[in-house]
Amino acid sequence: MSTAEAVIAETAAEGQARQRRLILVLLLTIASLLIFWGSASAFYYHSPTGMFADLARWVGDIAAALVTFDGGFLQWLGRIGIAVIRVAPLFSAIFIVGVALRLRNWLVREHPRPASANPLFDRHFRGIFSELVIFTLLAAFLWWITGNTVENLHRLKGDQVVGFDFLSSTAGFGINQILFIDYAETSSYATAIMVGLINTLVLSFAGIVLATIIGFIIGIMRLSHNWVISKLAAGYVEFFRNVPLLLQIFVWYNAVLKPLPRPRQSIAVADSIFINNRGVYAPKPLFTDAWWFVVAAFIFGIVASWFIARWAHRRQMETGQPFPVLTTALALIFGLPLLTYGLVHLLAGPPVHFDYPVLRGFNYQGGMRIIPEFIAMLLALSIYTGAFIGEIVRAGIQAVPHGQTEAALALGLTRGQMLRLVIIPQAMRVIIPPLTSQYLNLTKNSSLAVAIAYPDLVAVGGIVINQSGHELEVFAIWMLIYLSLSLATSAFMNWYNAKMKLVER
Amino acid sequence: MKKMFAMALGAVMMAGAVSAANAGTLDDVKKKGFIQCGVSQGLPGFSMPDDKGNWKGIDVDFCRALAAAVFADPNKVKFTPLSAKQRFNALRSGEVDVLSRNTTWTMQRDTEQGLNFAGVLYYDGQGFMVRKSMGVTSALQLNGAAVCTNTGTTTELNVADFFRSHKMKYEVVAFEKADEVVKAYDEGRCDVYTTDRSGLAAMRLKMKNPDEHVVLPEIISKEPLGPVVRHGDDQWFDIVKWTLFAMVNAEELGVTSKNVDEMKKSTNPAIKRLLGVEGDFGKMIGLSNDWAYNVIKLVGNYGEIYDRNVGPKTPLGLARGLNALWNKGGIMYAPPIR
Ligand SMILES: N[C@@H](CCC(=O)N[C@@H](CS)C(=O)NCC(=O)O)C(=O)O
Repeated sequence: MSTAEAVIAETAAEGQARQRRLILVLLLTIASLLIFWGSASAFYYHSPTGMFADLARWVGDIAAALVTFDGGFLQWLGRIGIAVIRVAPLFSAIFIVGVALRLRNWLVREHPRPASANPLFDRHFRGIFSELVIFTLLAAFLWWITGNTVENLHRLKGDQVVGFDFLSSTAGFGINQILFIDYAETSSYATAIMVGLINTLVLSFAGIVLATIIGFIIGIMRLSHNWVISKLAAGYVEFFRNVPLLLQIFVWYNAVLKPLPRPRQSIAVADSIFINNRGVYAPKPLFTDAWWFVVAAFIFGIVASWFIARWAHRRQMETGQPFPVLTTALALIFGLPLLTYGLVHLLAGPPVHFDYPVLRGFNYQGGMRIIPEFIAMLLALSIYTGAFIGEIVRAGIQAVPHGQTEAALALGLTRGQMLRLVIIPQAMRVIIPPLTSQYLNLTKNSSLAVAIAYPDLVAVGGIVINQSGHELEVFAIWMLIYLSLSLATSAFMNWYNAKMKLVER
Repeated sequence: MKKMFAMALGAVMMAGAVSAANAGTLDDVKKKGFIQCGVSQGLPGFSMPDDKGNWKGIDVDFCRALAAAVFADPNKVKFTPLSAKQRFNALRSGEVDVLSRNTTWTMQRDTEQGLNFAGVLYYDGQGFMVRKSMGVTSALQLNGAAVCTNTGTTTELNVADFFRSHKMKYEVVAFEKADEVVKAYDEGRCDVYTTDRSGLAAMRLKMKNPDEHVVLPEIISKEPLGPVVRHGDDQWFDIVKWTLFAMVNAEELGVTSKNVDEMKKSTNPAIKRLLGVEGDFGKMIGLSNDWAYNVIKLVGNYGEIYDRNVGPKTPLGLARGLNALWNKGGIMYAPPIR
């Protein structure tokens, strides 16, 4: 039946039913908007026009935040965040209208013929009808919940309710690991949170690297034909995977603290590295300008190696002649800078000076230091996560069909070449996605650091909450940061995964 | 569609979890039949469960006094152990009705944090503890020391102020749980343990060798510790405030848990008002007129709970000092009931 025929065939009754459906849509939309409006005014704005005033303020806020980019990154982000949250439900009003329009179009174009004269028995109509109802209820609920929160906060704290301005007040407390940025007790809460964030990043990054190394070793050990080695790896996995992480953290903290001596009885390595129960102290390198020659040589070495590797690869493809790429690269990357170092040393004196830690008063002063809390956290996180990664690596390798091994050996590859060129690349496809989850887990687990006084994002944020009383805001910052960290990690791993994908020819 | 439905369902379920910090605390408390009291997680003399699991301590006794005032039964109270870091959140969110947990009255807490302090239960100050073997005799010799302390406290702020104003270096190692602080100090992670002096006396009892440590003479701060309620409920604030005042007034008037029944016959009008023989003072705060009688009879006056929990005859052995009554050389002073 063509469309023209369909239109002609429409009976008067059908036309009426169709009109009835459209009128119902219109009424429903108006009702939704009214309910929505009513709930917003009653629960949140306390006046029917409040929403528009807020919308205006919101635009103003964002404009102001953009123009006066002064209060530090977090504050700026916070101000926009608040503005968006305040009017976010307004956007659901637009959504309601959107749903209604879609419904109208759908009913008119795709289902012009009602299945039943009563719209409520019409499947398509019912589907969208419930969508509208649920959405309205949800929006009303959002108003109620935010209104409730604001109301309670208001009663507790008076007029200065929610906002990120407190971030610029003086923190007033000390932090025992400050990396890359300057922080003192007189710094702001925002700076304190930055210190915590950096501590989280450093711990997570180091943890991920170490956990990956441990995981690959354990995974490969588990597949060993040697009974002892494989069972050892299996035991490792079962043990560390099944003991709660928090417990492991406490055990490692004790294991780090207990056997180490007091500062005065420090274990000295070559009279320059000192180990005691306050941490590991090492000389801190202070670089002169001439040092940059060494750095330049190092970078040159890397770039040159890359080109040589490409050239060697091409030549081998064309002529079959191999080239000792690895030796050349090592010589370029390490030999060249070493040579430069010697040369600079001869011509301009030592390019690096060292600030040695010395025992003064209670403790070593100067030099570089790693606090015991960091060491304990790093051990706990990487050993725990390493157990999971070990299993992932094993699964990945086992997923490569045995035929691949046989084929590789039949081609005359050595065992090493086989692993490197045939097995691992295929295994990586299976390994990377679950590996990403483990990296994310490790990052999130690093928040347990608060238990042993490692000043990570959660520990420092907790202090800020307690000293300032602004829990809602700090929670928002926490969520935002952990979300961004997770998304960034996944994005990187997805990119890597895409790169490692089997290129099919 | 399905997803949206699930979302809506989740949202409705969440609604149950959003309990409003209700204004009518007294009504709430009466309805549920007990007071939910926030205390510390194990501070001998202040609040700590004994080997039978009964909470003991001066902070705990104050909670019991509140229960006696409201219910005429000191056992109608439940305790929520809270770390320094958790306590204000717990109070604000309505998880506890009152916080009786060695908490220092500061301006910021009293205002920005949305809290009200009902008075001072214990006048304290912050001190330092070190190992005797270090040979330190003054806090001014602590340059470069590692200091263990609790996070979320006035302590960590005071210690920063102290070292900064004396131009001394220090490293702060801040734990959430008091037990972790003591453990780390005991293991030698820190040279110094710092907290309220009452806290030093109490936590010392938890150390491996309590005798190996000394408290340095300096008192670096004022720490008036007292019960706290949240903003927005004046009636409940009054009840907590006047329960404390009643206990102090009772000591001043010589009314104890032992003689309170005889004292009812006293001709002293102040005692008559305190014990509800004269006047309608209980009604003024929404309780029965014998509220203070119940507090004293069932829990005791201020001096009694002090001596029982932290006084010279207890393991803490803290002399009354500042906490003696104003007419006995201290500064403990309560407004009159009239
Ligand atoms: N009075 C200070 C410190 C209170 C505080 O929490 N002190 C610690 C160390 S004594 C404590 O009570 N810990 C006992 C516990 O958490 O159980 C404040 O209010 O900030």
